Amino acid sequence: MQPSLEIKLNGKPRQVQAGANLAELIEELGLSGAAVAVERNQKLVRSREHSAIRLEDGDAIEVVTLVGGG
Amino acid sequence: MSDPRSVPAHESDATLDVGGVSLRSRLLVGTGKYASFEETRDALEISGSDCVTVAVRRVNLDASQGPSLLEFIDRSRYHILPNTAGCFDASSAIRTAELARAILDTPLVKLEVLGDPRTLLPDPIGTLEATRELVAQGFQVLVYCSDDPRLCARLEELGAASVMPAGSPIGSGQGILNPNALRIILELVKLPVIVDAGVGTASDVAIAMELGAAGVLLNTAIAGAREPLRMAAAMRDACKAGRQAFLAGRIPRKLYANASSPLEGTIAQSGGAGP
Repeated sequence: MQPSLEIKLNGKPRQVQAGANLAELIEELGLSGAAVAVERNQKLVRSREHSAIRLEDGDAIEVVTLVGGG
Repeated sequence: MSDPRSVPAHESDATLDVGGVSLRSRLLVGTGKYASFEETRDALEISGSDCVTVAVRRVNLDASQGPSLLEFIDRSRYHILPNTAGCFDASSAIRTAELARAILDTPLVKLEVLGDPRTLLPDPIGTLEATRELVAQGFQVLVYCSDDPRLCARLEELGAASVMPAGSPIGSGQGILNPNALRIILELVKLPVIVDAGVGTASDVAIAMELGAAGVLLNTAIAGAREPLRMAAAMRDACKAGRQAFLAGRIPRKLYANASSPLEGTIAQSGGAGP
């Protein structure tokens, strides 16, 4: 079994496989191609960079979308 | 002179140009608080608006992903104006704007930096800070702000695309509480001034437009009405009526009466049997 690391995803702890990148996480969440944007440690990560960003222990990841608002 | 039987009556008044986009309607509407996405879509259509606001929120990872709001907003028809609602400091508002731009690929943002959750009043200092940074990042910043004329002038100096003073607190339905402040803002600021927040009913929209606002942004007044679709129509018509009245020029207020019918030639002048 591969070692895992813990990140914070939208404020909640989540175990991910060591070595996973951001694109893999988004795919695992079923959000590939969805209208979402992603922040890592309070910095926007553009979608073309997702596969180049390897997740690290303690990363704070935010995945947001658009909802109704005024 | 163009024909006043057609709307708009004034040729130069065909569009509201703000933040690099040209809007045919001066009514901007929000997409929050509707009973369903279908109702949202229908209310937008009936309102006649071509600019609608949306909010940025965390994806709900516990629920299965249902349809997205974006599937109900035809982007060939509406400009989408993402907001930074719910941000209580400049840095989270800036991050939210960046996230919205990444999703929508639009430079437009409705900046909200709020003071506290109870009043939802804009925080003027945070609003100035975030405006400065977002302008530097190339955003077209439509700034929700308090109805303070000097603050609006400062936001214009910083390069905002529009100032959007609140008529009254968000969702309060109190209407335009300080029309005099709005009049001073309209004199001080050359940017489009869009009254945002506080609208309760159609006459509030008409009043803002009659005073010379470039547009009105509202959400709850439609979504929270007993019949949202009928209220969407009322807001559409009030916005047009108020704009036409502004362009036509209201008569001055006078203390005493001024008869509409001639005072001469009445039979009352013929005398007759006195009392």
